Amino acid sequence: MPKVTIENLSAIAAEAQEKHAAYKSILLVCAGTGCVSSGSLSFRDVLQKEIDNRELSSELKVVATGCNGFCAHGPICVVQPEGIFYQHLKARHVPELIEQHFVQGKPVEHLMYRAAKGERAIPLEKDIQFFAKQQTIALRNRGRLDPEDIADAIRRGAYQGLQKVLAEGIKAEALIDLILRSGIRGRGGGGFPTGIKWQTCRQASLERKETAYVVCNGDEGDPGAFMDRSIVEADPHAVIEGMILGALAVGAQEGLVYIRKEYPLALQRLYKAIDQAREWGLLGDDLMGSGMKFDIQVHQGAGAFVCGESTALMASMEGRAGEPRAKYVHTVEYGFRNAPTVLNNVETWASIPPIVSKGAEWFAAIGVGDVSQSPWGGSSGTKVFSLVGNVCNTGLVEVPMGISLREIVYDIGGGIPNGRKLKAIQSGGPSGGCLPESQLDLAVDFDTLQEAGSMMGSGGLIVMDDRTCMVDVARYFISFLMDESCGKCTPCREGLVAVHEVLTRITEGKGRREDLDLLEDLGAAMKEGSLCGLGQSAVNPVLSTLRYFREEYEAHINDGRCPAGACKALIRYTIDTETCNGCGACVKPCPTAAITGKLKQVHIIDQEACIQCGTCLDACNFDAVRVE
Amino acid sequence: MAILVNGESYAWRQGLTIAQLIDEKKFSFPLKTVFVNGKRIPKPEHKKTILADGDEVQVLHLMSGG
Amino acid sequence: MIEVSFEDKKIEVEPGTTLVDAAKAAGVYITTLCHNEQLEPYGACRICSVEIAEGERRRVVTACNYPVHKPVTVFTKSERTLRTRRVILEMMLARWPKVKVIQNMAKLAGVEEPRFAHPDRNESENACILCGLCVRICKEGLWHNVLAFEGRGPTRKVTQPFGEISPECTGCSACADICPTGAITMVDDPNHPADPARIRKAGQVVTREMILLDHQQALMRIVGTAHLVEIMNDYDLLPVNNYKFGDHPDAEKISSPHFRKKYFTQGVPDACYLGCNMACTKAVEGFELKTGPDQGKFVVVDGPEYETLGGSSNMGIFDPEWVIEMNYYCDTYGIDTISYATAMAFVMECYEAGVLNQERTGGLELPFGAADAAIEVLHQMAEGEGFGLTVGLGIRRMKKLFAEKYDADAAFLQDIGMEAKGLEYSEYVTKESLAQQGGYGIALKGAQHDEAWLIFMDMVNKQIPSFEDKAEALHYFPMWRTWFGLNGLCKLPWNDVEPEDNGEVDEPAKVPKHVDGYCNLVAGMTGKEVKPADLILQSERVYNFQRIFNLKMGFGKREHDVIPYRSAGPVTEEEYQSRAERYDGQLKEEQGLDPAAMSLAEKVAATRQWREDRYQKLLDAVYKRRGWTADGIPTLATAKRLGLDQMEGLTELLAAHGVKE
Repeated sequence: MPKVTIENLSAIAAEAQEKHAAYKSILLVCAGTGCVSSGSLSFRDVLQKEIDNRELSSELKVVATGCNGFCAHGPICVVQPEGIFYQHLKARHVPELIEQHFVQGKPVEHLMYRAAKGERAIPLEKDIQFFAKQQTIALRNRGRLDPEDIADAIRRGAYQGLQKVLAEGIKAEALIDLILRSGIRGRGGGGFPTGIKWQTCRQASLERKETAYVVCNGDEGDPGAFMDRSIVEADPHAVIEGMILGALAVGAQEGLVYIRKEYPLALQRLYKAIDQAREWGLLGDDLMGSGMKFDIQVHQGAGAFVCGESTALMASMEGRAGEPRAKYVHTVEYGFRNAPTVLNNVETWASIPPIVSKGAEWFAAIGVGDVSQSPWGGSSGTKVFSLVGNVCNTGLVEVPMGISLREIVYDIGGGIPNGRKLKAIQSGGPSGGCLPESQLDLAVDFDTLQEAGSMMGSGGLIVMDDRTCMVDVARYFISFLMDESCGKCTPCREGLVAVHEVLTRITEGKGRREDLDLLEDLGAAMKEGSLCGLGQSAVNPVLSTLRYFREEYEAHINDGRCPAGACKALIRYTIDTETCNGCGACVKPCPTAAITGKLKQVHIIDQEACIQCGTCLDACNFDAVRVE
Repeated sequence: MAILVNGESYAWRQGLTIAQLIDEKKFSFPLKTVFVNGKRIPKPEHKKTILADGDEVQVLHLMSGG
Repeated sequence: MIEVSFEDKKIEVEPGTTLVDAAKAAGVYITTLCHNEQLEPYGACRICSVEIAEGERRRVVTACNYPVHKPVTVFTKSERTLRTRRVILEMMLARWPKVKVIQNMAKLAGVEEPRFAHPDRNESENACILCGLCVRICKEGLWHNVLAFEGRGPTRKVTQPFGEISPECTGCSACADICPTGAITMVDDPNHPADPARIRKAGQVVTREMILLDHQQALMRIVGTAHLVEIMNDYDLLPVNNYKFGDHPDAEKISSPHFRKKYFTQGVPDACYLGCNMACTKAVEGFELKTGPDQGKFVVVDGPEYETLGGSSNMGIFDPEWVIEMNYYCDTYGIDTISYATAMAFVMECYEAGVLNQERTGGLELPFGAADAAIEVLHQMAEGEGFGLTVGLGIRRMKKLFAEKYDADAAFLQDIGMEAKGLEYSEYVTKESLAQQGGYGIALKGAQHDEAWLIFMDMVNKQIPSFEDKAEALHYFPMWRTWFGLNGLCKLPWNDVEPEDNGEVDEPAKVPKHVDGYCNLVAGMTGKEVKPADLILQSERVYNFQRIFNLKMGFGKREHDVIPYRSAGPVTEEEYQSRAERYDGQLKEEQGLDPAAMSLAEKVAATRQWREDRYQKLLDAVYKRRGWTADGIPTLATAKRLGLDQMEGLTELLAAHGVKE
């Protein structure tokens, strides 16, 4: 394999492009974890076999890419150069697809996207509204390249940022200045200006004559978040290149990537990318022939949410238990092995190379606010979100900062399915909060949501419809954190147990009048007293739901009622005697055989046996099941 | 113009402090208690305690052997 | 200095000082629980949370580990401070309602009944409250790492590996001592001491001193006895070139900071016996051997200790890696490093004086500093071949051999052959300490300082000026120091780390607080109360028996308590000149002579005569104090006092040597 140098990078890219262009069509099959679990790899295998059987392999190239983003519609295949979008693909579609689209030149309409049942197909990906409103920087190569082939990454522009810095002799201070002027702030949730972080680290390293480290936080513990996973699965070289640039800025020679063990595909692709980068001279003793030394090691997490906290992460990498320490002494000065350390999130690292290639002003012009004086002045660039929950278009989106929640949920997300109403949007994971429909026009950026009692966080966005109980949502997050708390400090360890106990009682109809004040008291002590961010922000979901949905709490406590019909202890499933026509569709699916009735006669649910699972509600085609 | 240090004569000069004396005599052993004219002078005060001509200094090394 | 303000007090502190330390200095009280002066602040209980203001910024931080870098105001009584503490204590009270320390703190904070029920409520008075003090003292304080936390969140608990009682646990009970709730129980020792709690308590005193004081004192836990190299060098006591000199500019190369930085493994307790809380043995790991049968192997080397390093400087060798290798091979061959080094130093001086040459050494060039040749001798010694076989005879036999075989000047060899009673001298220059000359010369087994180490008391502190003073010291200390050997204990915890106030007691050299500690150990073990004088008596009995036994074996008299003159004064003119000012001064002050009017040879001779005479006078004083005859034999009265006269044949033996009373 060739050694990449400052001089030959463009030639290598051009050569790869030439090879790529020699194909008549490129079939980009999404192989992100979501689509893989829907069978996209076996679809890919059948596709490849069919192509080989028909001797079309010199014309048609099949590429298994990273996450395409439109996860609700997988398995997905996008055909280049046209950009035709196929969805919900199965192995049995292959012969038709090959024959019709590629042999006869007629794209297969019934495999294309439709905005709703009965509407006409939209053949091109770029015309689909889900994609139309997005702007990709961190996800610039998603669904477009083979993450296991470094030549493909180079073809799409990988390592151009590095090449520019090396070729133009851009020094560390100038590089840091560039990052500062771009205004980029950490995408892991903290929102701290990346340029300031790098600057402080570099200073500490020079003062103490101690070599710095660069670390990539890929722990991504927030439930429902998969931004970082997708970036690593789709474009691992973006992260590698970002870290090399960071290393140049702070004088690091070793980089570490911490990825949670629950991401095997991401790990596999990253290991492969690192190996290939080493073979091609992009990691090791002599990067691109410049004499620069830098290499990357990967650490796997071992199942702890708290290890996403920077000091716990570093403890874990040092072989100690993943427990945080006080941050009165910053890790940027005393971090990994007590050396100056820059820790940034996957998405932040992935965003660095284009800033270097395209310039600070380009990045600063995207987003909101004014970062010309200081990165704190605004939120520049884009942000990746994982849009999940009760929304039509669940998937991965990247949008410019400042876009409103409404646009994300409705324009990109396609609104709420099954004709239900939007109740709340949860953002920022367990550290964040819930915002009601009235707050939907708020801009999504580092600062605006915080004033409203939530936060953007690392990018998890959970859409909740009107069948969601907000008290139960709060209880769910507290329950998650209770298990994930490292347990070192009292306010978090015992506070979460206390808050959980109170919320559980409330959802069981055993709430007391004093409970709301108690929750606020406990929350305040946890916020002020906890050792790390986990405990300090643990009550945010409780506090934000109390702020916007207090009447729901009061209904549980005062009336013993769950307005959303979700809290099992407070609801009953009944069959409406006027609507039920005795079809019996609900009988068999009931897991506890709680429903009895003769054919064509009104059926009845035995309340003792009923476990409120809701299966009968789903089974009934006549809307006869009521939740009260 | 001399002081006694552990019974031995040592040249005194204006402004000589306990800390300087210890340094000059190469009394590097860490465990020492210093008495000046029978009064114990704690370590934090060694830098600022100035010795007078004729002082009797006892630098007791608390070393009981290897 | 940075200003820290409290409600009604202000104080200036060094940057980096924690708020808790600033408060302590200012006389302000901040409640803590998981904080302890022996350990790094942990920040887990959060009870010390206080609201602070630095300029505009106000927030709540933990006082135990918040470092002061800017002027700060601390609100120990503000609403935020009090509320945070109150709710935290409410949480703890809900879980551990019967634990006294929680009850007390909760009461002070104004907590009544907790407002919620804790699912893991524990009614025990001795419940573990997860403060982590036991884990931290085991890890940071003792480096044993036997205790750790297991589980996350509500399932967190303190445990030992695999949930079993760890064989690595030495039973030091530091954990039980530091636990605020009594959650830890110690299991009794299988050899059934009379009062185990008393033993543990005595041990805890030592443990605490080790943790708090060792790193300010001797650094025993960090570099072991190697810390003495630089000290001995500073005080002109480090043997160089067969005890000719007491310091050397290259001594710095084998001083302890080098070993600490580059060679010694840190943070691992390496105790000679299970339970020693000093654990001062140091080792070098992964060392590649350059010579000998194990050449090329990577080994663990146990050391070097001071004596090995001092032995190396005695040979004029200042190469740290050479010392490590020599240490390894001596250990492997079963050869004492001191005997080897001092014997080699003698050999090297003989070589430089022409007594030995390459022909006689089988081709080896052996001046001072000949490192390669020296280690070759070691290998030969172990193989039993070549010149090594000769050196392996030891100094006493080599003196005889060289005088006979090479017609060397026997008197010169006697002067420079540093052995007493056949045992090679250990590595201290005793020229300026008469007391220590006696310490070496009179010692029962030969020139070893196990019995007495009086150099500082004598030479530096000048605490024992008269013969009687020296004799008293040469009674007490050998008796006290050999008591350790009788009980299988190491004496280093007695004297190498001393209580902070030891400089203010009456007889600091005795370290009386520690002596009392040993009395507690004996009482705890046997159930019998003892005083320090009782322990001395125990030793005296054995010591005198040993002296009489020596007598029986043909030794044990004054004529055997001889020392080579090199240990008492300058043998050669070169040595005299190296300390000319001091020796000239002594001629004047002690003997009333005028050095200016004397030739160098005359001065050497006069000094010698004076010192040899003083040694004899010392023997007189020591024998008298010990209750021995002028010939150095225990009197019958002494034997009776110690109950030794009951031993069969003992009085007859004494009588045979003219001792009848």
